[in-house]
Amino acid sequence: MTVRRLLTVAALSAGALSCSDSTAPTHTPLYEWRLVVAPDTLSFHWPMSMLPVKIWVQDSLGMPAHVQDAIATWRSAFLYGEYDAVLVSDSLSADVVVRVGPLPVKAVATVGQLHTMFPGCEGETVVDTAATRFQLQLPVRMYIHPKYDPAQTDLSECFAITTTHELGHSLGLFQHTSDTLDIMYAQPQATALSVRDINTAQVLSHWPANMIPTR
Amino acid sequence: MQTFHIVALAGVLAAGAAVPAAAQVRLTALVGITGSSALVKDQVIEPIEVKPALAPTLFLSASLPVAKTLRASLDLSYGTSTANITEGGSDAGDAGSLGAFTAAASLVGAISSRLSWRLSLGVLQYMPSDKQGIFADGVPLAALFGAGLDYQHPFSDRWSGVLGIRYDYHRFSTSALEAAGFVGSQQVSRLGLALGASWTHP
Repeated sequence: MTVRRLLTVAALSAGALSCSDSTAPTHTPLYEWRLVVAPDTLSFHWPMSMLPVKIWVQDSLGMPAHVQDAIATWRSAFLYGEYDAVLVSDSLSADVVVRVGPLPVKAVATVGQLHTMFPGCEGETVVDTAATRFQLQLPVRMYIHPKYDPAQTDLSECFAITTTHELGHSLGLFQHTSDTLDIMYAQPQATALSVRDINTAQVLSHWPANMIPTR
Repeated sequence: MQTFHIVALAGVLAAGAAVPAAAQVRLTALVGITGSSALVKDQVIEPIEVKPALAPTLFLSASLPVAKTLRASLDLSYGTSTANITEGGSDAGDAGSLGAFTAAASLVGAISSRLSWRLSLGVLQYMPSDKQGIFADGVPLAALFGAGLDYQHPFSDRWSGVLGIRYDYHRFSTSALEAAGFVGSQQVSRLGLALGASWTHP
């Protein structure tokens, strides 16, 4: 076989391998995620320097496992390591605190509250912008609580959905959606993230944040 | 299947050109660096790229003469570096370390007594340290086309110093990228420069 013939075969092989580059997705459709506190529109995502986000979870009703699953669910929405979180044992140093129980009454009057209610259980995430609108007071506090006696009713799916929803708030998804297929629907039923959830999470994580986490 | 066809083609090329040659086995080991073009190009708000940093790379090959000025060679290489992420041209972290292993069948021809060319067909397997993000569902084997030049400086009957330049081309995609809505695959070119030695059985 001559060198010329070999070169021809090689050139044809290279030609067969090559064509156009990949086309990136448009990251749409998505929904509004920002917190509107007139006249400001507040956007937040965890800075890379704070990753992995430290989450303390009250060890009750299997909540640590639900939060771990929720972390994995949201982590899978990102391609470039925009979000990661770990459970920690010290609530004092945590960025997010998850408690099993209702929102303390005294907090309601002073902070923004993102409330969701899934049949069987409820969840709230406290987005405390009390200091200034452009500072997010840490830790972000989440409350998950059963509406019925967990010993009598299997609430595991309810806890899983609600925990994923509330963790979405802690990511910066501050609004509820009107689509029942979204995990960020006000009364979530979806057991997985929708395309809109994923797109919105990706976009918010690259959107210039005007809320800075502070202690 | 495309990968299989290309490797099979390389085997047929080598076998078709074969002539009896039991001796003159040449073993070559080179150490160098490999640079790569971007594996992923995306845009959310600003352009995002995932690109391996310069990778220390080991190149190994074993060849036999198959014609007067032609050798058939089995080439292996392995390099590892960080998969850097940039956004808008600025550092935006990394996707962990990324190993790249290649296996290829090559034909090596003489240009002069000291200079030779090589053409390769083979496969490339990326081995990411973090099974997350774009690597969450693994990385499929990629077909590889390569070319190179070697300059040999003989030190003795058996030993030579070798300066090698290696270029290869493949296409990159992952299941995670496809699930995220990427269509098609990214063209990736890599260029390596390496120095080492070869030993030839007399």
